[in-house]
Amino acid sequence: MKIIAVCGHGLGSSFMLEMNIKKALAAIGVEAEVEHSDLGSVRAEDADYFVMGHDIAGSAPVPAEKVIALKSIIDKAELEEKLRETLA
Amino acid sequence: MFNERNVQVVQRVTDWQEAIRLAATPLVEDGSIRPSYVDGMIESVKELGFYIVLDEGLAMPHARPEAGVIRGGVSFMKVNEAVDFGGNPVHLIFVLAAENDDAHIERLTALMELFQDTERMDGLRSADDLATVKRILI
Repeated sequence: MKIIAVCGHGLGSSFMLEMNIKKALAAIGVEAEVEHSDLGSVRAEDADYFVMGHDIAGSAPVPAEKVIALKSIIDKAELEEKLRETLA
Repeated sequence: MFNERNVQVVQRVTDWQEAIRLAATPLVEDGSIRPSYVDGMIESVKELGFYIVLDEGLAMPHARPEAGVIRGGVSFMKVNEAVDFGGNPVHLIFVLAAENDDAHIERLTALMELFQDTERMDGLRSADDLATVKRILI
């Protein structure tokens, strides 16, 4: 399984999100490949799931069922819960 | 990462664009970024949306290095009266002069540690004077 963290530019918030996703996956015991990218270059076939802030979730060029939208890029609890809901 | 020159506290700003401009001023003044990078951060939001709002009350404006980063760095500004970032009331603004190098990754890691440190972040949220902010960040 592959997960991509997405933000506007692919080098600030998405990188932070990638770090958090890796920690959250370890915490819930799920293995996946995690990368980060920007809104302009992600494609639907690039990953199984795309994680991003809710502000940009609507403009991502990927199908809604592959999107995990977060209220917070920082909040570990929200991320773990949403990953668990979707992946477990 | 933070020092006497790159942290500020202001009472209010007119809008999110002024907030980004003011928050980025120390990085322009110390030669870390060109003024074009400030425009780049604002244009990015107009074009891509408020992806820079990372958490409740917290924004981290940034743009591509090519927009005008001379050397990587950060600056911080606390706005005592919340400023609207696309429907999100924001008090804490961390401007990121983004680079594509190892120092950038270390900086992001350190920022994330700070953002996840509830005690320090609560301190920043309730602080309304520069002395308190400096005590927390420097």
